Amino acid sequence: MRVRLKLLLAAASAVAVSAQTPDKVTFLRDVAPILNKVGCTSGTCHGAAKGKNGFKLSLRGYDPDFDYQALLYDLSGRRFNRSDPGRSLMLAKPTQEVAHGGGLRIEPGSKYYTTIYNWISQGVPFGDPAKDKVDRVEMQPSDVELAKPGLEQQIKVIAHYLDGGVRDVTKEAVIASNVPDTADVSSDAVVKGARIGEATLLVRYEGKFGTVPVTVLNPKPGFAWKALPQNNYIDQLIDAKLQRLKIQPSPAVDDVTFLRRASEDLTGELPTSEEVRAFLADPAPFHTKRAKMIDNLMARKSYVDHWTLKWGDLLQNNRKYLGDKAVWEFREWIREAVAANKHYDVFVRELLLSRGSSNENPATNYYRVTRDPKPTMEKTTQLFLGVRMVCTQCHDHPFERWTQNQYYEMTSFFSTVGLRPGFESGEEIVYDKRDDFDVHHPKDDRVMKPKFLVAATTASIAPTPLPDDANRREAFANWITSKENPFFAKSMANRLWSYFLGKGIIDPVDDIRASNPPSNEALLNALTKDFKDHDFDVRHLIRTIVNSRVYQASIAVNEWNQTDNTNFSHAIPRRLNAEQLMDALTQATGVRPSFAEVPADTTAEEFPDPHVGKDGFLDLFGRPPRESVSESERKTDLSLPQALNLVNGKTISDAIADPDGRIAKVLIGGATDRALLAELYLATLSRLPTSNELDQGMTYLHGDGGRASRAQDLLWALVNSKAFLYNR
Amino acid sequence: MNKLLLMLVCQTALAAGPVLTELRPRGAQQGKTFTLTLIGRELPAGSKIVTTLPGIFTPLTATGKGLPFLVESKSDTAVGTYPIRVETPQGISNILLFTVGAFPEIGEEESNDTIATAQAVKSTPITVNGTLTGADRDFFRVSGKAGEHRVFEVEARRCGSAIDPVLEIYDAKGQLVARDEDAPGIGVDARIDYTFPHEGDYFVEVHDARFSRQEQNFYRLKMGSYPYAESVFPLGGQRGHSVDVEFVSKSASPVRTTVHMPSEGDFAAVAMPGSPVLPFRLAVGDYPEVVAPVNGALPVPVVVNGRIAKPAQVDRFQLQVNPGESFLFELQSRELELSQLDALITIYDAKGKKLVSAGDTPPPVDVFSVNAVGRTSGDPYLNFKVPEDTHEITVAVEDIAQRGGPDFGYRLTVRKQAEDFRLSATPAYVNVPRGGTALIQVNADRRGYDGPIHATIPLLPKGWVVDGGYIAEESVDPANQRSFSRRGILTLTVAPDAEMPKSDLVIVGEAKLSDGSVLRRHAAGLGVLIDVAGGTGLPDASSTDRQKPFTASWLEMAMPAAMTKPQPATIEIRSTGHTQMAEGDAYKFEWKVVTTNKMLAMPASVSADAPGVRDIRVIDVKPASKGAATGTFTVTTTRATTPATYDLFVTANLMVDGQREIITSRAIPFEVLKGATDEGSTKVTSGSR
Repeated sequence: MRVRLKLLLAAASAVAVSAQTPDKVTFLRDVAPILNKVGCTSGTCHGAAKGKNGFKLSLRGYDPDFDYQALLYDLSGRRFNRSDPGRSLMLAKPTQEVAHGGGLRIEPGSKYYTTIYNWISQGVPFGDPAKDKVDRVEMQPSDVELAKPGLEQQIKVIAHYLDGGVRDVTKEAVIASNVPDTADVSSDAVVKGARIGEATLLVRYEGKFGTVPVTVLNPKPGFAWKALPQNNYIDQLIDAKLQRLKIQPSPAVDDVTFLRRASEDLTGELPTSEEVRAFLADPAPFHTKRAKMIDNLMARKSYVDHWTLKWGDLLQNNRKYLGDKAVWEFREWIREAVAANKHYDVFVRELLLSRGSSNENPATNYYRVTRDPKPTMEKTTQLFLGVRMVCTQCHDHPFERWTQNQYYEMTSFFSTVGLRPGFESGEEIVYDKRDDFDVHHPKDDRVMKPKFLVAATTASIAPTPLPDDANRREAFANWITSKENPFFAKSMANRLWSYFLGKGIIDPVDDIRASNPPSNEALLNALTKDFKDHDFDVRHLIRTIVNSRVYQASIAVNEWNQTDNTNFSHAIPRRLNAEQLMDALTQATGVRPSFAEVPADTTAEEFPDPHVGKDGFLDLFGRPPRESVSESERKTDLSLPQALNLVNGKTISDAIADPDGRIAKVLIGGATDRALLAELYLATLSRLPTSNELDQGMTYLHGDGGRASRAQDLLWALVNSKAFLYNR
Repeated sequence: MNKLLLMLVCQTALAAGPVLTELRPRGAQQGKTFTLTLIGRELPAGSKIVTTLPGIFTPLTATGKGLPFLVESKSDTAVGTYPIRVETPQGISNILLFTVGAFPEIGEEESNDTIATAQAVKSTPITVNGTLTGADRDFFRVSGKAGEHRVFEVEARRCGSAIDPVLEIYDAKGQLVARDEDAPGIGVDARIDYTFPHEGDYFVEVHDARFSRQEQNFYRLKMGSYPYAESVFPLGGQRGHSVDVEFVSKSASPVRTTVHMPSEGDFAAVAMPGSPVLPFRLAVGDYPEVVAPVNGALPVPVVVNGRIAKPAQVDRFQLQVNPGESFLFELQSRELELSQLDALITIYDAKGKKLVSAGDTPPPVDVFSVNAVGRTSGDPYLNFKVPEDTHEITVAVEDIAQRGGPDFGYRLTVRKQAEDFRLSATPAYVNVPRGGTALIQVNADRRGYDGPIHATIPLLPKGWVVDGGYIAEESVDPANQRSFSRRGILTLTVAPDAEMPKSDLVIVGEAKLSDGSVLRRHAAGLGVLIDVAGGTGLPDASSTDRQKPFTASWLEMAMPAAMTKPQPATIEIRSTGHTQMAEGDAYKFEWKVVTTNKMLAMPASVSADAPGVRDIRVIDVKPASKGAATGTFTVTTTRATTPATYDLFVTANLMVDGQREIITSRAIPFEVLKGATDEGSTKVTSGSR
């Protein structure tokens, strides 16, 4: 009785609406945006995986066809009363005329109410997808620069439809800031600068996305740009942005700091005492001798081992998936590729097109890790394109243009890959299935043909039609490694950059999307172009980055860049990763921990997988378990357990007191106090002690407890210092 | 369960008697006289060496560890591997392989773990006998002139070592210049063919691929400039016929020779003329043979010798057939260890429509799962029944991964036989305690025959009794799930005064085919059974790595058997009744330890098993009272238990003089009749042995 009364009341209010002359209303153009805006399709409401209270809509309205069908046919079509629209459940529920778990979503008589009312009264037309779908969204202004914190700017969102029509959809569009602490946006699309810095607004409307960069400038008077030397285009493009933002970059570091930083970043090792002395003594000009040292470091075996380790992480070389023999073989395959500087496109092609015995062709291990087409596709796009497709297995990507259809179209490229056991233990054969490899869409079981994520335009890359047989893998490899692929070179350039500067220009590096824009697009474009122009030569790009002044910048900040953590105006101290730290401790103390699984002289960077030394020091310090391709698996923060291990741990204390260790050898060799201190500082911090440190050290050595014990304390203190634990 | 059964089989069959753990050295040069020391357990003076190695073995006085012999080998001894076994009054030992080579031999000198401490090799050709333990690396320094050619080759797995060798060469600067892990034609062994670019020192490293610890951890590093073949074609020939054989390598022209296939046995050892490399073992077949390509329809039966010489090559053969006929297609390539081909067999009808294929799906059961190792796959076979209206079919052979080359040979046997099976037996030999019982496991590789198999040993010496040998039928349920039944056990029991066997025991499996005929197959013996430790060989609960063992069926042994010293007790088993339960049946049994030794402590544990039975549990295993010589146990079935005849046996652990000793009962039949679990008609054939 109560429900009926409410419906009658609703009908009464609807009479007033129906008295007006309604415009033509369609679901696509008019109704679906309302459902999205008022939250019907949100993940906490009917957009949830199982819907809500028996009514399911697609998440954030990504599938208007599905939503339309659900509205029309669920409950046997009882959501609409076409002869008396106001009595429709579709209006009675959100207006709370009848009980609604989601509360009041639409005010009776409001604009949204009227639109839905008119749509029902017009017979609930779906609309013409060729006309009523949104083609793109436009933001006005497209770039916001606020002169100081506290200022505001109204944003306007214009939808352009496929039939050429335009509409102001500012109210219906969803706008969010990626850094609300810097610039936040209100529900009525007013952006307000909160503090100096940069943010990006992500604008979403009916499956289309756009971004608006927002810069909040430093209002402090007195900024005067002081030009620093520019070694290459990286410095030019960084400086250009910094100058606009009124950020003064830090200058380059001194020679010893540079040597330690470059050694760790390029080879994963500390420079030896002899190398430090020789480098300091080199009279060559500043830039020349650094460039020469970079080449020297990149020619070393340790460079190969260091980058083999990184690729071992990314390719999940792990005996848990591959067996004990294969981890060594796969490591060797990677190592040979790094040593030969196999160009990146060739390297990726060999992985993607690998087939045969895993013993004979270790690149096949790429497929042995993930095994099935779907995880293989997800891995491939994340690893080589920086694109995460995992969300789209169930629904269109909420923050990108990728759709569920694309997920299965891309998966289809890998559906021909078969695996079967080989003759030898641990061996598997990777092959192309001859038949029975169709991928079906989970919603309607239709066969999904392979289709590139982004259409290729060059005929040689994109044959028409794409091969429908086992050769589809070849087509995919051609497409992904082509220079026209918009993500392939960019994601790798960005990833390489992150290894040297501590964060990506797009960060995280394996999550490239419209809502995660680059902090310096011009720089990323230039790095990408350079990478392509040099045929994906990884060494060239690394050399370019490391030779830049930006890479060599000091961690010391000035009044103009002290709050900047985005624009690479100064270096960021980076904790040595687990393997670097263990090897650095080895170098510093002169003792290598031994592990039964590997030969005695094996460095931590040479370990084939996380099985070696499992659950020990390396895992405590964040060695990745290699269970996914995500860079975030590696932890380089400093935690309390780590700090306790450094202070009290057996690894360090045993190494310091080892009878064959550095302290014992130096003292047995008869070193003077001065020589001993020099040796300890060079071995740990890669520099000589300052005169103050020398004085204090000499005083300390002659305290109670004996010189050896005191020297051990000093070494312990040095390896526990930030200067040792961090690459600065 | 499988692994436990295998351990049990090995322990009860081999518990007593001599054991060889090591030979020193592992090889020698042809025609040289040398000292061979046998190391192991229960090797008394006077032990007799049993071997096919031509030569005179003169016992020497043992002055240290092991049993030394002076071996005067014959100068015409062929390069190859030879089995060495010991025979003593307490039984026979396992076999270890001894290798005869063409080059002078030296031993590895530790410590040679780094380039800096590499062992100098003064001249080549030479063979170095070395060992690797865990993360060991062995380095050897050789010198060469610019342009000088050298072959470096490791013999390990081929000679019965559990080592999977990796070979690396470094130049004088320590730069890696060559590496090999698994070379064509020699399995997991390694070979590098290298021409020195500069004059100077080079360093040859040998290490294990997994840096694993193995009991059989030896290798033989050959260095010299010599010819070798990486592949051979064809991979076999018909018994008693001559075959033109081609030896191929990438670095030299093919070498051809004619080989006469033996009239006995399944393998023929064939060496490349002029090469010091271990011989290839060609397959010997019983059917007429042809060499691909074949014009016209294939005769049947036939063995086709083919080679996928180029990548993506597909060999096609036509057959004229009649509807309803059944064929068995069996391909041999990798299992012969002469080919890299991972074959795919596909059958098409005359219109090119695919009818069936094999080799592109995981095998229904791991051929080595009887040894509880990781999944491996044998060569494909296909049972094919000709459909209606089909009079011509095409059989296509290709590499599953579309590879090809001279080392991608195969043998395709085609015969009209719908149902077949192969049998093998574990362990490699058996010592039965006088007055006691030993276990043998029989493994069936079903090839179209799914019915029950009964294995037995028809010709036994006086005083020997065989029990068990039932392998139940295998079926596919409505959900297309196969009930795997591929294992059975035999028990061998000997009287205290039984005669010694004069030759290997031959295990025969017998099956009644659907047409009423009887098919008999002999069980192949393993010859040698060398465990290959998985993972790093270190105790590691997280390691899932399993390795199949090294076996040498090419030795063509059946089941070598002997008698060993009596055990202190025997155990008997007796059925005492059966009750029906809601979800299955319960069978009660009684066990009894029989001994004349009044001081013997009764067993700490007794266990029972009935291999191959699905969904059974052995419960309530307990002695009649504490320390009693008798006890009971119950076996329960469920409705999922497949009705069939199985074998039941018990084992008990005894402590004798501080040593654990396992005694086992004779097998008794354990029969579950059809419909028993539903209708309560299950019965146990009573037995008391």
